[in-house]
Amino acid sequence: MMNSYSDSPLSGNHRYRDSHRTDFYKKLMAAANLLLYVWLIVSFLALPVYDFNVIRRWVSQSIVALPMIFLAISTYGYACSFVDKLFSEERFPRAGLYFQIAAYFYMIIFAAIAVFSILKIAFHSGIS
Amino acid sequence: MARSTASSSSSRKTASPDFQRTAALLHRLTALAIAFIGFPLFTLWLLAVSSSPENYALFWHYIIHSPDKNSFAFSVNIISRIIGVMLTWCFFYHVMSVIRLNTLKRLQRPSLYKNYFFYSATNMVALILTLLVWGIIFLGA
Repeated sequence: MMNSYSDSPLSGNHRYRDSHRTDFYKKLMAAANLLLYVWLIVSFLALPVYDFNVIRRWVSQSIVALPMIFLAISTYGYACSFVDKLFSEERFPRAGLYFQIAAYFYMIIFAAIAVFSILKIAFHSGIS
Repeated sequence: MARSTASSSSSRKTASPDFQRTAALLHRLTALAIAFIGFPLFTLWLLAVSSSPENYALFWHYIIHSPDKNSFAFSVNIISRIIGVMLTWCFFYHVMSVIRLNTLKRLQRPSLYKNYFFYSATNMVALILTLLVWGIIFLGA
């Protein structure tokens, strides 16, 4: 009864979110998201023009590319923790896991495309 | 009499359960909008930048600005701008809501984080920041 299978952190109603470490990572990702999105909005609005070459040169700088990669990863992580909470087993006892997997794949695809695009711009020459 | 006055003033300060439920629902809906609409749009923009000038011009023509007012792209522009304003509001509302929850819940006083004033302040700050960002965009344009 003390340590049954259903009480383990990887099973039961709150599969992932009950551990303190997950809570800490969620708060860390929320703070990272806040900082990075504010940085993105401010620096994007500070650009003089939104021409293809200007944008490409801007993203190809490592000081912009690295935070953008972090932004994609932290957005993915935060969205995953949100999906865990939204499609928890207590709300969707049967279909919750399938919803979670579908949402994970959706997020993985877009995060991977975002990171791939940033890396492609960063490793490619700044001007096409 | 005094007790009834005090209870009525405190109930006036504390947001109603329906209001709290609506705010919680909005918090989740804004997160859904950012994660499942906003982030894919950002990815699409990055993909257009990384691919070629023609693709970026196509993205710009359909999503951001089309000079021809009688074209189909101009209608798409209007819809994309409405979506952009809504996503900006969603982002700021979600951020303000997370800040309100994390700072006020930490104080261990439910009366404070369920206070109507903080809900209203969250909404107002989100609205002002959205108007500020889009004001800068339109004035810059």
